Amino acid sequence: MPGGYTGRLARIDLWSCKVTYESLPDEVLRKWIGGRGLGVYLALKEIPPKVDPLSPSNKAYVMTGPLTGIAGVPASGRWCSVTKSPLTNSIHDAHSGGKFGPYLKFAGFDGIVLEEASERPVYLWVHDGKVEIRDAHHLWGMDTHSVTDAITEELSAEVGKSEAKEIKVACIGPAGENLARIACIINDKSRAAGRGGHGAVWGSKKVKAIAVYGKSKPSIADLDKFREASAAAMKKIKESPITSEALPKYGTAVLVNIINNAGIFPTKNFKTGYFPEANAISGETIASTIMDWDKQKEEVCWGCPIGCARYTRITKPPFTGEGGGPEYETVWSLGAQTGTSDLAAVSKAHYLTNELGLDGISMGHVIGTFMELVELGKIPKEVLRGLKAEWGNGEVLVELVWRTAYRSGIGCDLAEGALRLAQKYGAPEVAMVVRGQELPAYDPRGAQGHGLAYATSNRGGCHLRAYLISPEVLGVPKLVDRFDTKGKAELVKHFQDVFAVVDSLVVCKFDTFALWTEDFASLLSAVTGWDITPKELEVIGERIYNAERAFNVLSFGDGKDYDTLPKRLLEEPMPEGPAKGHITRLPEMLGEYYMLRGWIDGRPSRIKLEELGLKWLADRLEEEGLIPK
Amino acid sequence: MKVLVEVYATLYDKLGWRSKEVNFNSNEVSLEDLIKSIPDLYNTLINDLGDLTELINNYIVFINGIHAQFKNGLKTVLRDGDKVAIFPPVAGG
Repeated sequence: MPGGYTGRLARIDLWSCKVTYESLPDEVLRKWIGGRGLGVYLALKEIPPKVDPLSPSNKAYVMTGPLTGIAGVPASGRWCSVTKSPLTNSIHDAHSGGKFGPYLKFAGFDGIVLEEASERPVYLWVHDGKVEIRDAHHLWGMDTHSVTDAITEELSAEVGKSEAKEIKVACIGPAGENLARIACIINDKSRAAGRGGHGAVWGSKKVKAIAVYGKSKPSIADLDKFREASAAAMKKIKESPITSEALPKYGTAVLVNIINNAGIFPTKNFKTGYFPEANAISGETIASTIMDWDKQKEEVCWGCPIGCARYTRITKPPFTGEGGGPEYETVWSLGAQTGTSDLAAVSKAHYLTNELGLDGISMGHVIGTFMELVELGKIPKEVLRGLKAEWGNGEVLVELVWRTAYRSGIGCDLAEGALRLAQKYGAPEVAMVVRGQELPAYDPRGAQGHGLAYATSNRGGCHLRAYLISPEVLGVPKLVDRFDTKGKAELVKHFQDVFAVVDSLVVCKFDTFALWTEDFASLLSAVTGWDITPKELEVIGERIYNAERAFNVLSFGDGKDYDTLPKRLLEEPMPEGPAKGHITRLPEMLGEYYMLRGWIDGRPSRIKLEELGLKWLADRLEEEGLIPK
Repeated sequence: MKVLVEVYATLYDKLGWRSKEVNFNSNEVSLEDLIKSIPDLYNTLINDLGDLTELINNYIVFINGIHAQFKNGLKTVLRDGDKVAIFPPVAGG
């Protein structure tokens, strides 16, 4: 077995309460690595693509990668959830930091497969190479903080009180139980496998939580090579002013002012790209007003030399509370997207998304969608029940988070996500989504390549399939003209393939501000014992991206009709600021992108799939009449 | 003419001010002239970068939201009412 892996996968049949253990062949690991890659491979083999994501036939994969939990690999404290998404109907992976991921590996597993559905609430107790299914009747209904504390207390009686802090819990809150399509999985109280409704999939299976504990450290195949690769990677992280200064001091929300200055900070549901009060919710303001620097140290992910985590506290009524975050994406979604500049209201809403188990990006985004629907007079008065859902109303912002988690009143519609909400009230064009997933915190009218990345994202509207903001705005690794479409197709494909690898290793994408394929190849080779090249990694990334697209083609006929953006971003010029007058010129880039991908009309060709060693997948598409000619 | 300068992140911490309006009698003022006219900003940048020519490629400098690279770099001629925003290397996501 290669180093880095435990060599064990636990398969849980929740219906019959049977647990089995298996190992995966080395050649499968080398082709798909772990995390996102291994997840899509298993999903293609095991999940009927057309299945209802909230039915027992869907599966949920809780995955680590070969670099997860390896001390000396920068930012390797992560894990990854893979499933068919109830929000997008696509294959979907959601990633989270904190400490849960490494401890899953220390408990003896590369991953856990959740199959079928339990009749009653359960949680999994994963420790010392085994998995036990425990009753969770008493935990059902609890918020994520309460359930984490309750399980830790319960299990500390078994491992000893002094070891209680070594138990790590991932769980769902009321939103997941209530099958909100924007429900997430929360681990370590404030870390979210956020996007795509993975929490609802756990809820549909009646899995309240997974608790992990163990001391088994993964092996490293070539320790000398690893020391060398690790030292080189750590040096780059420490020498980069981004990973050594800006992120630790200001967190991800340091981006607020720069993205707002660039005029692409989506405001009031992408009506404009400039939020006049942006500084009130910026990383600089958070750092100087509501940060608790002592608690922040505890929030930092396992083994992370960067430490972008926040821990904040608000103390003045009406909004009081504390917790991890907020991050760039959540101060945007709950702030500018809803027109709210009150940092206390935004922070309170953010804490609640974590406690109730909601994806912070989608939640704020959906509230912005709702506020625009209200502004347009699309929501009947009897539905509003007197709610003053106006831009910038912090009180309503907080109330709508509660209502969504519990599907109370209008919250029941918000829990369905922006697209279904806008469709129900007769204005689907108001939904700023791709493949049904709400767009994040960058308006692509002023970042053309980022627009292509959104449109071609297999998991729907997402900035982390290919973060073109990095070269287009931040100048990393090299600044390119953000208003130009030339060369963007190639950049997007490259980023998509490399990020698919990063998500499969499983390490943090912030590593990529300082490290790239040659660094990851060195680390992976040393840990596993494989002699892997940067080129091989890129091929693996391309294989993963094609496999995901193939799953989507089989699921809902994915292709060129879905590789698009909301009409507002394609046809309505940005009304003000530096990007004034620009639209996203997607057609200028999409054809070249398909050519580079070897796709025809957004679908992988047989030649491309066979080139990537996926003949079996080409045959399957052919059987369904879905292989493009 | 008047030009507004804003600084962010660690640059703000070092300087202790976030924005400054600078008045010029001449209309032929470059980005370089502007920076040199603010001693604490100039000295901090020199201290961080060694040479002002390193600024454009190492920091993010916006002139009215457009990267200075896509104008004329340090030689960009500023106009009345322009806003210059300077960010040390930052990222997030």
